[in-house]
Amino acid sequence: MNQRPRTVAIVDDDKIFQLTTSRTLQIAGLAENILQFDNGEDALKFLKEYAHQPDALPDVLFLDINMPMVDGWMFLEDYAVIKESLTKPISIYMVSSSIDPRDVSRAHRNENIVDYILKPVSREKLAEIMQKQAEYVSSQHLADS
Amino acid sequence: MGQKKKIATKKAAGVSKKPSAKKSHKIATKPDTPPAKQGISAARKRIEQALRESEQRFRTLQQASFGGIGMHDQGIIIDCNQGLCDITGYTRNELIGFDGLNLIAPEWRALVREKILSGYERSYDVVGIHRNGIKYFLEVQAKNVPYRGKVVRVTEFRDISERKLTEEKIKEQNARLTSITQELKRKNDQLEEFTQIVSHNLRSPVGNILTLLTLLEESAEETEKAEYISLLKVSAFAAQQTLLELHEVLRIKENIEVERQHLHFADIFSRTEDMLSGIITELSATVTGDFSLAPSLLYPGIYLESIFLNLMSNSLKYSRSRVKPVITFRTYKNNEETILEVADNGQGIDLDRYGHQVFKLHKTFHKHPESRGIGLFMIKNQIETLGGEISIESEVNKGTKVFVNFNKRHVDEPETADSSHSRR
Repeated sequence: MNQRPRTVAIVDDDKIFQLTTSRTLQIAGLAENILQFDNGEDALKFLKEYAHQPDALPDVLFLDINMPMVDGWMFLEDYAVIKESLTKPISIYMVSSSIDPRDVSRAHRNENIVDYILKPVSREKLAEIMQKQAEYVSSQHLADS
Repeated sequence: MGQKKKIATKKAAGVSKKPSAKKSHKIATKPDTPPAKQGISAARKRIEQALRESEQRFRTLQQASFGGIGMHDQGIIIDCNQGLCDITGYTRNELIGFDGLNLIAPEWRALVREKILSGYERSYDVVGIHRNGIKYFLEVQAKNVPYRGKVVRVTEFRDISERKLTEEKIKEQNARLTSITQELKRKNDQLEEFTQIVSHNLRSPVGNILTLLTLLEESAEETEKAEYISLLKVSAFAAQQTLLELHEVLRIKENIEVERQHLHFADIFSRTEDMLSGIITELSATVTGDFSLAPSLLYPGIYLESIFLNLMSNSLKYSRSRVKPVITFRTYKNNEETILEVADNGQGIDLDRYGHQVFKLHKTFHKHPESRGIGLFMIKNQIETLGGEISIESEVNKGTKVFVNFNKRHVDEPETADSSHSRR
């Protein structure tokens, strides 16, 4: 019974954001495994590699927009293609410092984005996200059984 | 032909004016004159009178006309009105016997000759030449008419300088408005981009600072606290750095009128080479410059140095491992435009994938530790502020070519009016 979402991926080129977010998740006991990627390309490579190992795949993925090489938007384009091959549904949250309404509405229009979250992300917000994910996972389990 | 006869008769009537008057008097005093003959004389008198009036009317109309009217026989002016004198600057005496083509600017004479030969009767625009040598816009309309037994050409000249000038002014205004619109659009785009940068690049470190402070407050361990404090410093520095860069960008945008100097590309090139000599030696790079086709440029020195430095260091930074960098700088002219082309054999960029990001701030395309992604953004701003353009061609694992067009001529810029067509 692995109902609780335990694996979180952070895709962000900002090392400090990676560190503060993973520390906050750890301190609050919100995640067991935290995967950190500096850009979209590395994250995509990982997802493709572990597509058939649901335990290795993240439950929640925090995706930055502005990154070198493959940015958040480009990640989403490629994710849409590989999504079907993944053995676990991943809830993707776009996490950015951009308050540009064009970014916000673009994120909301993307079917693979659960929500758009503005940085900095508070502990409360992280807890809320993980709670929502837990509810989603258990509802999926009920539907399956 | 009827017209010809009428004119001929008119002349004759004019000459025999007095005797005719006497005759009519005689007629009046001779009641024995047959009624038929009397009738013919009266009719003749009436015709003569009508002709005189017609001649008078013609003269008046001709003189009153604002246009210049001339009558030409085989190209030679045989008669003209005051209007033609006013337009051309010659007196009537000077004009009579003058070749009408001399009133047309030399480069337009062939056209006019062709119109005369073909008997063209609609109006057309040419350039006239005034007695004082000054050229002016002219609308010409001519018609072949029979006159004293031969066919002459009656020509009307209309000075349309005013109209042409107005037309040109409208065209100029239109071009100016178009360019203002483009400039505003460009400014607006830049402003949006600027907001985006401020939004992202300032909020990121500030957000980090806030989160780090929370973690610091809650931390009990000294080593952890020290870690947070050092990261706080990094974030604060990043925020400050962004502020400095944004200030720099604003400074460039405001500074369109920055002083331009006469610069030799070769000088700037060797100065750049000197600045990067360390890395050039380290990579055994071959850096060459050929500026023979366009050796110099009027441009702000600091900007040109910045362009050379950024492009050369980018080519060096993104060279392929185990491939000695070969970088060539060359300049050439494309019409009035001066182009700088920088080619390298480096890693290249997949432009289909990353093309939209190339000139954005803090965009880097290589996992290089020194990538800060400022260079191309900054020089693009400098180049565009001075009316130029930068573009890129690249192939992954082959190399990159960057083109800087320093003084791009925009297609819809107003055409410079021929200065010789000034008003008399």
